[in-house]
Amino acid sequence: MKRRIRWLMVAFAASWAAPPAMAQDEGAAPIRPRPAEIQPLAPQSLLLDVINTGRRLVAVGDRGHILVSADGNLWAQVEAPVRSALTAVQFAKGGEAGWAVGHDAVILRTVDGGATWSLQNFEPELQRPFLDLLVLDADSAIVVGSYGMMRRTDDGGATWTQVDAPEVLEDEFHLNSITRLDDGSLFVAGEMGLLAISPDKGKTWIRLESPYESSFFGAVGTGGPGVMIHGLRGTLYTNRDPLNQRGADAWQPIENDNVATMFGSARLDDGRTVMVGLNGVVTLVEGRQIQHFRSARGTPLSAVIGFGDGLLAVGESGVQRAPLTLSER
Amino acid sequence: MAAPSTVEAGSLQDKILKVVEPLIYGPRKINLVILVALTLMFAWFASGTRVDAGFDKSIPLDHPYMEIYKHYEAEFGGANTVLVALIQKDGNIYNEKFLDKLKAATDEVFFLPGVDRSRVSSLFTPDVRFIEVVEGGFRGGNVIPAEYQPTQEYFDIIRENVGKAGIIGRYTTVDQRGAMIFAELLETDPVTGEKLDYRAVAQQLEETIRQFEDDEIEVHILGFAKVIGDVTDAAMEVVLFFFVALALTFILLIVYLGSFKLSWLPLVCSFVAVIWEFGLLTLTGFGLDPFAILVPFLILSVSVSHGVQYTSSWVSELATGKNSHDASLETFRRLAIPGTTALITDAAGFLTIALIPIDVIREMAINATYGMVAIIITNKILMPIWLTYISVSDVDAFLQKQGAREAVLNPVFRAMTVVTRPLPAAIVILLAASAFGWASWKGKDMIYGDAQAGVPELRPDSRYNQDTAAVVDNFAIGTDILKVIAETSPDACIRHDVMSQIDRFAWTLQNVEGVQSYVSLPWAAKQVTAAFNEASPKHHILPRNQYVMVQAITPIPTSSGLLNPDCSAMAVFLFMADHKATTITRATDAVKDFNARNAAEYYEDHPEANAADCEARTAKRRAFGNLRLELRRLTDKMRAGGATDAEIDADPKVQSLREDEIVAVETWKNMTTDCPVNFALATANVGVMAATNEVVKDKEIQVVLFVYLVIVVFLFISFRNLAGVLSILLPLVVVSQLIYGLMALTDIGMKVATLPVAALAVGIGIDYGIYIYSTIEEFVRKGKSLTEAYYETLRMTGKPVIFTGLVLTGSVSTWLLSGLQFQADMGVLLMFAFFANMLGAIFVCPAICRYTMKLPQG
Repeated sequence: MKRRIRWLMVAFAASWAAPPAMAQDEGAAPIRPRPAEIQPLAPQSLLLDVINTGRRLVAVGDRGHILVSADGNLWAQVEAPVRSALTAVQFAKGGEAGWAVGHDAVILRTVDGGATWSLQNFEPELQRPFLDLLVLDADSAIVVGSYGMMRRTDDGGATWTQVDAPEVLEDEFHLNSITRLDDGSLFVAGEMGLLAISPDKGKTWIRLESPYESSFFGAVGTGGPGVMIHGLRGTLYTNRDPLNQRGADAWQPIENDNVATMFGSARLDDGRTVMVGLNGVVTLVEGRQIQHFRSARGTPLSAVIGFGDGLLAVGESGVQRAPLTLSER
Repeated sequence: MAAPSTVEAGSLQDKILKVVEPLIYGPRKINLVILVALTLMFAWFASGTRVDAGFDKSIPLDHPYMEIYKHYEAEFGGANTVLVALIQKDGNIYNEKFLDKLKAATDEVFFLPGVDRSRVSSLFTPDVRFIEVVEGGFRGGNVIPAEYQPTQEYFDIIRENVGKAGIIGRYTTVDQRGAMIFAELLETDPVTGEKLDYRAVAQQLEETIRQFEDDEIEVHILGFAKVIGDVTDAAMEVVLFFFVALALTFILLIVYLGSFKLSWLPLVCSFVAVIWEFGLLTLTGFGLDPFAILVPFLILSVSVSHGVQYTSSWVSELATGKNSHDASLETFRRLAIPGTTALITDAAGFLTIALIPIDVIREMAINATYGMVAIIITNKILMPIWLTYISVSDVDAFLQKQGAREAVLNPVFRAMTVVTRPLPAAIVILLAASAFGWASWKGKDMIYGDAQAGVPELRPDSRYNQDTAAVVDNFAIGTDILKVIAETSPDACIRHDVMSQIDRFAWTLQNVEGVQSYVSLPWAAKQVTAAFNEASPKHHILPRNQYVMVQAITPIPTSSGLLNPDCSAMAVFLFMADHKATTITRATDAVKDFNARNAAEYYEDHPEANAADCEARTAKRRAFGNLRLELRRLTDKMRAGGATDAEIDADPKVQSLREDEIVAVETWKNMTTDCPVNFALATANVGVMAATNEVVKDKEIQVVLFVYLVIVVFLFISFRNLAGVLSILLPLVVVSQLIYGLMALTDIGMKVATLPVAALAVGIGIDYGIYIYSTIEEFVRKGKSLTEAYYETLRMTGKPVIFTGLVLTGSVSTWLLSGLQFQADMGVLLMFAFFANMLGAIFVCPAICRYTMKLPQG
């Protein structure tokens, strides 16, 4: 039976935080995954993450687009079993085994360096996306998503189980990112200032006191146990040892005159931290020094890596390269 | 030199002549009085000819694309847009002077006649809004706040808002030096029911909007109304061309006929024919469409051609010692039937272009047919009678002069008879055949529609096309827009599966070469969804959750033109790189292909849905769309007739249509079967072009074949033998094929303006062939050899054929200087047609006779 919804009334009554499950049509046919379509403009469309596997570059994005490239200039789209937006991609050492995750709780697996992908998880009815993942080794990974979703596999993805960490997950905040710090501990940043750390490869999680109430979108290791976190409207903090210095005041804010939100970040080979975000703003941090420039297109960027002499970022206008001679800007 | 006795006794022609001759030559005075009276009457009507331009009549309303266009015109607007761009030479738009001008210009646009005020849109109209993410939510507002004051503070606010609204490239130029005002025109005034006067709109645009132009700010105005205004202005120039052609023809006639007095005859008869044509047009309630401005030229050309034949023949008869009356009678006997046959064939040919279901073309067909009828009367009745009254004062001196000229020409004619010998004839036929072959090969490159930026009616360097270029260069949207309507069930835009089909559609189309970008409801909903999620690109998606989708759509008003009020139809705007027919076809093919694939996929995923139900639902939707249109046309007509709203409401026909409509809509709403989204072509200007191109392409072959059929039938009736049909028809076929080759060579596209020429080139050439062939046949039948017969033919009818061919080519060459591009294009084609048809008639026709005609021994 079809329900006819007077949608304006609903718009008035519903709130953003409403639990998502109630909107399903009862008895509707289950949604079948459909393979992504290969399109010539995929490299210029919305891309959300990019990674250098050591063997090639792999980028993922909207409509199930997965792109591979040897040189960062020429990108080829590869077949993917879903059309859902893919939000993150990562590979184990060696660049053979990896996963990509995305909306509709999609988890894709590759064991041939990204040439072919198989579908391990597809739950559109859940109406929740995975937003990031961390690959521990060829068989183990942790994926995080909205409403406190955190799942783990240790068998190459044959089974995925929800991580039991009530202290971190019970608030059902969006978990926007998961990162490995240089000392091997794992770090999660999310909505409502959520910060959490795991000293034991994700077995146990400790919720950290937060210096900020709004969203964090990412974290990047700054050497040893240190971390830098970035949030809404240009918010930046560092902490040299978050595991042992857990007070909110242990987080040092970095003065930032640019209020563009930074969504993606990476550590460059020369030790600097690079972040990208709204309006194509690129932020470079060296110690407490901060620099900004804008990508040529000026459209939002989602992720960045150092590649060759410069930066390679992805975002709303696809792959963007900045011919960054890092000291000159 | 003895003229052959013209018609075999007892033949059909003889029988016709026996009836017609006494009617014309009997009561000559009365006939003349009647003709003069009729001419005066038509002149009176003709003086009331009005220019009648319309958007709807220039589009193929029966085409399925245009059905969609008309059905959704009220909800998504049409293609009858007016764009006004104000572009400043330096600096950005955020200053007092520019914004004042923009506001004043927006106000003026509101007061244009026929403007749909609900669709006027600029930075100053309340439909242009922005949405912004702030901590804890998002907020929206008008781009220019209601409390705007011309201070730097507000300039900064507006600049920020413009950025947030995502309208750079549409409402402002990409570099924010200029701004755009969008408006749409309604062809029928919704209040008075009166038809829109496009020239008044164009005039007001020039007077009230263009005046905002100064040293710093340029004003660019685009739209159908402006095109009509410019074309009509240029049409005044066309009238000048008409008189230049007339004067040129007159001078050449004097040279040719060697008599000032005689030269008046063909000219006056032609001019009278044009008067009759205009009179008939006005009498039957038509106006002159600016696009049909060339028809009088055709009438003039064809009439001069026949008039020269007639006068020329009359002079030949004088030379045999006859008096004016007998010379006229003899000429009538010889030329009345073939001439009338040629004219009737022309008229039938003109009528066949009415097969193209575009009203402008149909009017043109009727217009030209009137002209042909008028020529029959002026050239076959007025001219013969008039000639009986002409006296050449010194016949001997006149004949001597003629004789001296003949002495020069005769050796040339003698030399030309070589084509009647077997070998040269074979060579000529082979040459014609290879020309045909080349043209068929080259003609494949001919494009449909046109390739030029801006409008093809006007010169590339015209103000209008420069304005177009300025808009295309400075704004991201361009002026070539194809709108596809995504049809679904009411309230469907909150459903993820529906929205994702539309989204995939737009993305698939963007990947088609020639589609630059798109705007659609899902595209906007994704922006809003991301905005709700702190602008994170990872949430730049269509939410599966209906409540979240509702939130994503609520900020998007129907005035965005992306959705209709019940959300059962959504428009996808495809911004095209150009409007070449190949680009358009590629896009429309991609739409059809996606629609089919998407439906197939949908039925696979939804076994409960079935195609038959869905087709029935679409049919029902069309049905109530048609009812609404019918209702609107009826009420418009009643309003135009002065009916009040109350009278309209009380009208039983209106009432029953309204009831039918309500029932149809309810039936459609109750068809709740789940269906794939139907992507319906098409509206906006490229949608109109797509439909027009398809119609032209579809009907072109039909029209040409029909013209040929008419010709074959008439030729066969006239000559009753294969030789007549082949030797007249084949040169025409070669020439019309060569026209395609020429079009490919000169990048002239096959479109509404050129199709009539391509089809009519055949008709224009036929009188040459008929005059040549019928005379050859006459002499051959009298026992002359083909060579001798052809020699005599050249002296009698060949000479005027060559003369008119050259004169018409010359007079049409003035068209190349016209300010109207389509007139220049038609000029090229017509020059070629006149000239090549003349060559075909005097060289190819006798060569074919050599091999097809039953010749006497020797």
